[in-house]
Amino acid sequence: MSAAARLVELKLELPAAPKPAHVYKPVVITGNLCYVSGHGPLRVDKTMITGVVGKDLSLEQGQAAARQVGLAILATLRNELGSLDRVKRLVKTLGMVNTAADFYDHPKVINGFSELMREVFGDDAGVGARSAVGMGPLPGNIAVEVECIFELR
Amino acid sequence: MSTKPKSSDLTILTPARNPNLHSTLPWRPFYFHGANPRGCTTEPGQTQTRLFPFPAFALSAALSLLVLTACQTPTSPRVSTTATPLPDTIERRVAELKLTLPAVSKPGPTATLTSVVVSGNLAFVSGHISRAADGQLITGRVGEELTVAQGKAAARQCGLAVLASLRQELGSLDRVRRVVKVLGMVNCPPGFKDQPQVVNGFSELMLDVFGRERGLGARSAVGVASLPSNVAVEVEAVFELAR
Repeated sequence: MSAAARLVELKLELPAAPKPAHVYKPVVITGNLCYVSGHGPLRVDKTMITGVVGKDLSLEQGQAAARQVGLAILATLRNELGSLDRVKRLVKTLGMVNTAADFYDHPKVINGFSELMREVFGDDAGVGARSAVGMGPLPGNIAVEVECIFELR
Repeated sequence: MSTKPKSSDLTILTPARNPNLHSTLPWRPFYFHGANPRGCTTEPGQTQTRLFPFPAFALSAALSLLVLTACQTPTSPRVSTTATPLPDTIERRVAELKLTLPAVSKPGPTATLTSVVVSGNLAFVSGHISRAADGQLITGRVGEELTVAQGKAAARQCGLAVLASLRQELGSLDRVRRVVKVLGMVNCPPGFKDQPQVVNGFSELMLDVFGRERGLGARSAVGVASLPSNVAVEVEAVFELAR
């Protein structure tokens, strides 16, 4: 099933594609690779999910924030590419969690993002290489930031 | 056969040109994909970005191709693409260095990531965490529970794990043309400044295995607030594969 059709089937509600606030582009396409800038957990009401995972937010809330980042990235992709069907596969993800110093479950948090990608793009095209790490403060104290690279058709 | 680039062709900043950089850095400040940095010997048949006298090129290319095909080892059945491995030096190097690469586990059906993704001629390798030879995780913050030397040893373990994943995905490390870009992340307290020395543990292993030209890539070495399971070091990297 095509990714665009999956979006409809899963009844996913995408936020508005975020506009860059500073000196960068939301995506850059070079050859057949699409580099996506870091996105935060942007809700439909245009607010961000903020807080330190492991202190202000639980693991589940962190996972929900990571999933919200995924929805924001899908919104950007659709806006920039015209259709999600132009995406051949997810290549590489860098998932950064705003964490307390003694929080170690970053992979579980970023699974919130990765599982959404697998739902939309499938078991092969939706699963890529990945690093899931803990960061100090993130911009605006957002809970999760994810940047990634997609391969286009 | 090496060809000197015209000064107008390439504007890359090499350690030799930039007096601010130490010449023995185990990483390149700038990697320009597709061109040959100054001083690099040209491999016969490799695509060039410059024009040079056709007859001389054609003759040398023809002779070199003849030599290459004569020396080429048969591709293993596991290699499913049409990519041709380079002459088998990397695997021989690994044996010479007596490196023990850790066992690699296959991702299960519910996996949300895969160790390596090949896209075009690039292999994107997921972050690999520091694990000792006995399989135990190397944990702790460098500069707190661990010394820089221990952190560097942990980073070297990340390198062995990366090589193991590459070998499993590609069938042979001889399919790897070069290191392109490394991101080395060190679990450390605020104020720790020696991340480059720690990540050198990874980079120096790449130099040992791939040699200076092919093992030297672009790199960022940073400190992070925390890593999964509190491991000391995590490294991800991008490699270029042979066509």
